[in-house]
Amino acid sequence: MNYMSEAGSHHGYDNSNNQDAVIFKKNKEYCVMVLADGVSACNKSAEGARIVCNAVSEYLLAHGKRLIQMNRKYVAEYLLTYVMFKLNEIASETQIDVNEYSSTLAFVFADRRNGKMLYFSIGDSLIIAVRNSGCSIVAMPCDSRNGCCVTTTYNASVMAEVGVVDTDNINSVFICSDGAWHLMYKRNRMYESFKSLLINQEYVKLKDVLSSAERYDDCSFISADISDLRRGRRK
Amino acid sequence: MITGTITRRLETFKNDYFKELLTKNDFVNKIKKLKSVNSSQRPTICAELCEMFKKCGIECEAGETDNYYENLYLNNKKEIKSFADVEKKILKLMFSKFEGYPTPEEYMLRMVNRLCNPEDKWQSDTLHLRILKQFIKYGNCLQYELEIKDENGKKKKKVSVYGGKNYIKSYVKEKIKKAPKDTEEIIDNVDDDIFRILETANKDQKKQEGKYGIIKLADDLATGKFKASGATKRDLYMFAIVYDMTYYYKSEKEPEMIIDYDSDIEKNLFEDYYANNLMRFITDTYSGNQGSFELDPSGQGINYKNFAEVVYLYFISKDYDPREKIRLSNEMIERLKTTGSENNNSELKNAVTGYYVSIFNQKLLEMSETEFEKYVAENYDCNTECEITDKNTIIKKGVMQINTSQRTAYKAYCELIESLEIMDKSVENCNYGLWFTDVSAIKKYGNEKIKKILEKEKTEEEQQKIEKFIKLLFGINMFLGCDFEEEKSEMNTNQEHNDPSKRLIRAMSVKKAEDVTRTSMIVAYYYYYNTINEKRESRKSFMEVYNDYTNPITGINALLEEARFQKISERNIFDIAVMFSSYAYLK
Repeated sequence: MNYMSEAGSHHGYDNSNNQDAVIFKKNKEYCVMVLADGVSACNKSAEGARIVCNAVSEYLLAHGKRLIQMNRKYVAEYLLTYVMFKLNEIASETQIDVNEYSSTLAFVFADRRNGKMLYFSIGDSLIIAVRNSGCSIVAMPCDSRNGCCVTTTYNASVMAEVGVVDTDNINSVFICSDGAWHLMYKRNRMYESFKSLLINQEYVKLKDVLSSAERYDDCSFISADISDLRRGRRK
Repeated sequence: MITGTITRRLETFKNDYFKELLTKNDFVNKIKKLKSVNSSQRPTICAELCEMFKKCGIECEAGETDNYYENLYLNNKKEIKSFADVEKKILKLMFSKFEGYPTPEEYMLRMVNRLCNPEDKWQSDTLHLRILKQFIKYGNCLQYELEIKDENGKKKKKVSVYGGKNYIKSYVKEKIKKAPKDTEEIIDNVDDDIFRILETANKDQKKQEGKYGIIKLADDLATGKFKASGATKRDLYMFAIVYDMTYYYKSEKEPEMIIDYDSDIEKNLFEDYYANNLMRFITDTYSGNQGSFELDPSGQGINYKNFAEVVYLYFISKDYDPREKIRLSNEMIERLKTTGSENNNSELKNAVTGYYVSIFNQKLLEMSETEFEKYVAENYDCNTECEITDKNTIIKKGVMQINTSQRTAYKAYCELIESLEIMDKSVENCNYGLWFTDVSAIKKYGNEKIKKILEKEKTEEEQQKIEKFIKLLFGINMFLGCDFEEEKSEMNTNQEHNDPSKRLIRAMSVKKAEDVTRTSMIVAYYYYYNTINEKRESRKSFMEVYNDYTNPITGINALLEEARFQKISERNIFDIAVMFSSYAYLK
């Protein structure tokens, strides 16, 4: 597993102001990695992103086995209901409007026994599956020109990208925030240098490159290789 | 994560409209309906009622008893508005919001800001100058060199897709008193005054190939001037190329490709910018000068049946330098005009757009240039010569004018007109236009009445805003209905009202698949919707009218989507005004 989460220039590169959050959890049966990107305009979005990462990872380790078999629509509804429950809890505790805790949410949950992987995304994060043959898109960033769907959006479950894929032929899975993919892409095409880092799974180098890049937005990614996603497989 | 402003602003407007136009009567009617419906319809009505309460900021649970909703209404009655004069309310509401709708210029500025290279540091320049500089720097003033072989060997000939490069050079030369040494020097010295020449230039000089073609192009794009006969389409493709806009397809060769919503040509140019945006009527560009512009862009965006558009898209999707894209696309179009026109398959002219959308896929876009050109020549209508049989003369069409018919849209449009006739509503009577205000009366009797309704201070600023608002109402009504003559007539008011009632308006008299537009479909649906609900004696809240129009199965959205037009959108002030008008009509 590799990750980075660093503040951008609009937060003065000060990580205490970073509004992104990532989490990775793994046990014998399951592996889960979550990325949440707090909405800049919201006062408590960094906290919201952390709460969402924790809540979703806990929920998935407890119920992911069932979710992976469910209709996609229900996966989104159940998950987001739980997320909203957690956010409402903190909002009522702090007496702060729940919308102030808004963030995007993207995760993958792998059943390490059979190689099935549930993916989910609301917002403008990107999920990529890295294979020997190249990188393919698992979940595309949504249209964020006019603000995108986030955890607190009314009827957000309808907008979620949800699905199950097999991890056969996948070498690693990579989730990143818009701050990261904006650096990795020129318009709609990924720069060859970044593509090569992903295909060769050079995530430490990728972290160095992104870390040293001039960036406005907070920048985060998390990746897991096949040994994390599937039991008995080696990197 | 950063969020945008235009749509957020408009989304708030929609919620405000719903809230502001919900009345006590709407609640009373809905609760009455809830009591009378059968059990299968109850959850739908219940959900609608809950949505109404929520719009007014009142917490509401679904699936409760009739008493629960009745008490909820009675306990919160004070929070719910009541107004007797619907027309007045709509006018005031629209007046308070209309300036928040983006003009084509605003959309263009947003695009240019997103797509520009910040290192160029042109942000403080005016919009038309920024666009012109982009054409100069990244598109070589839309000029390329063509290699010609003859008996004396190879020669290079300069081809100008748009004229104007020489004028730009001479303008700079005169300004700096020496010939500019390179493009950088031209860009550093070109300024806003270069556009002054357009004020005195004649029509030919302002044409695409004319002396000031590229200057006019930059100015038109910046001000959202849409030219007739497909000319704007080519302008847009040139803009897309120099700003390195993208076209997304599911690529096998590059599976990591994403939709870049900031640069996607379809989303930005054809959905936001090149639409029948009525806000342009209040801009200085259109003021008093409507005749020279394309008043009703079809609204279909990319025409996948047109071979030139397909060629432009093919090259836009490639990762080439913009100059190469300009050269390669224009060369291919020129060749296809000859080779492709030899293919006289009449089926090509009659194929529906859906077929061409389906074939314009990854397989086609990942073909080599030679394969692609051969495919287009064999499968697209590339014939720019159109024979007129009755006069036996041949006229030439521009490449962007080929295959512009919209059969699916026309079929849906004709069905709406037929439905009106079945209901005994003659299309000649479908001309009353906006129902919440009498535009004809404003024209005839002046603005005083509307000023009184709007209850505004008589400051100069307010007066100007009212003038703009009236221009907008005229613009909307121009598509939706017809009005009295400007001069006072001998007829009394009743006679006058009967006079225009027999006039056929343009949007209700489309006779060819080439002429149907998104606007004409919405207008036809407007009269159909008003007629059918009038016959049913339906009384609807604005939210219900909005939901009816946007219903994906029974609403106009179903027809618009099938015809590949944009669906009803809260971003479009014409769409909102039409729904306001239906609401007023049914009240």
